[in-house]
Amino acid sequence: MTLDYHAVLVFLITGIVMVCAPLVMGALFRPNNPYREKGIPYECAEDPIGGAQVRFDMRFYTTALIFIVFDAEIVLIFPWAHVFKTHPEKGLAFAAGLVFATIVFFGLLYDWAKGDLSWVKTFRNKRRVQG
Amino acid sequence: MTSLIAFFEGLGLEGVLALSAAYALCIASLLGFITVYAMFAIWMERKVAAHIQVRYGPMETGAWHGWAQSVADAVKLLFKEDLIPPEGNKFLFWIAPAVVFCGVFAGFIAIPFAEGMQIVDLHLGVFFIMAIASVEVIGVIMAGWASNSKYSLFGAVREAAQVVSYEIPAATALLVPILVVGSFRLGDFNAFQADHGWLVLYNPFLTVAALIYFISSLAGCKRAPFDLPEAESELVSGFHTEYSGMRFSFFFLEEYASMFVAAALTATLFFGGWNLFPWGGGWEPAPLAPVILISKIFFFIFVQMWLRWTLPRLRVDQVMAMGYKYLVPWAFVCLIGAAWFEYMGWGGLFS
Repeated sequence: MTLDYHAVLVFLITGIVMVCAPLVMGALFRPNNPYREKGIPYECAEDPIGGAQVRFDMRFYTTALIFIVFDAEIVLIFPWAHVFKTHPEKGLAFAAGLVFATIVFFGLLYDWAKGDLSWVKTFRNKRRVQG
Repeated sequence: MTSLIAFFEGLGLEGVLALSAAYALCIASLLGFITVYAMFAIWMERKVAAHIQVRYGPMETGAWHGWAQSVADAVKLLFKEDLIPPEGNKFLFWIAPAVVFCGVFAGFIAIPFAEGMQIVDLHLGVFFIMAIASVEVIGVIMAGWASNSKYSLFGAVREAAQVVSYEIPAATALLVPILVVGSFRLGDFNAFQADHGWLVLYNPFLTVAALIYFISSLAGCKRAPFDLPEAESELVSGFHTEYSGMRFSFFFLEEYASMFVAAALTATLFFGGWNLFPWGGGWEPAPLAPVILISKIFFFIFVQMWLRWTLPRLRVDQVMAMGYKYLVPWAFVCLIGAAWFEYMGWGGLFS
């Protein structure tokens, strides 16, 4: 069984070597003639304004947070799905899964109502409170 | 691989030598397989695209229907200059294609092509493939950030948001067959389906779960209609705008390799694996198993290509809404529904 996961490590390293080998090999044939214009990032032939390593949209952060919550929930439910078939008390196992899924479902509904699932966030609910 | 080690030990090699010989053989055959497959798939994609648009596609290179086009392209890419943006982060730029590729490459080792024809029989096979395939996102963010180009950055963060969102419905949909079979080992799914018929027909929830998984895997592989990270008309080429030559070709290779892994999971978990008929099997001669599985995989790859050249691209808000508002709730309904059917002892159209 440990052999299996040694193999994973070996294949991960091979993957990296496999990418590097043709690059090193290609260095023997390929031209290398960099000049300033080649180094400019592509922006439809305009000179770029400012750097590209800038702060980006807040929505990606919200998406990442929602993902982490759901991913943790998936990790918790994986063992449940695995043992369900062989569990001696199927009813209990089913009830446990149902309760868990209901809680997650209400979490999803909450996110939905807050508008975090919408890419274009609407402020309809907020306006209603103010108006 | 265990049998290969035994074989080399039978030839009189010592422990470590036998192990290294087995590894070398596995690595060489896997590399050969992926390279040949990717070249074939790229040629196939161009041909499928061309015929859907009523044209011929590549016809000149090689004698027959441009079969050598991908080989010629690979040689050309090897001779291309390797540009590294001087203002970007050189180390991240250098390592990103390797990170992207090694995850998918390691995913291949758990796919069973036939009984015993598998590099390692991981007891967490499904979980492992899912986990290792998502390493790709890290590489893509590295590539986008290190390129120092705004298009690359937008492509990378879009890709991160999209792939990460579609992992939730994909994982939940994969839980449904896991729940029915009660195992993570990919070989067990083949054995189960030999007795009970294809899982996609086992109960109605599994049919829906197969559909959900297929849609999410399209998004996970950045295939159209979910190819927003490299939407040509708005982001030039997405996160690999600044890449050229061999380095670019690894992103390409990774895309086709991950299509293969997604199609292999769909075929193995839902569509019978190496069992030919929907009502089960186990009677097919063993040498036929890889042929059956690979034909199914190529069928799903063909469907992915077919969708790419048929459906228009979605808008970014539609993509995000589709993931969380439709697929995630339906995947949960499938999971609980399948658990209910299992609890009641229903299911199994052919068992």
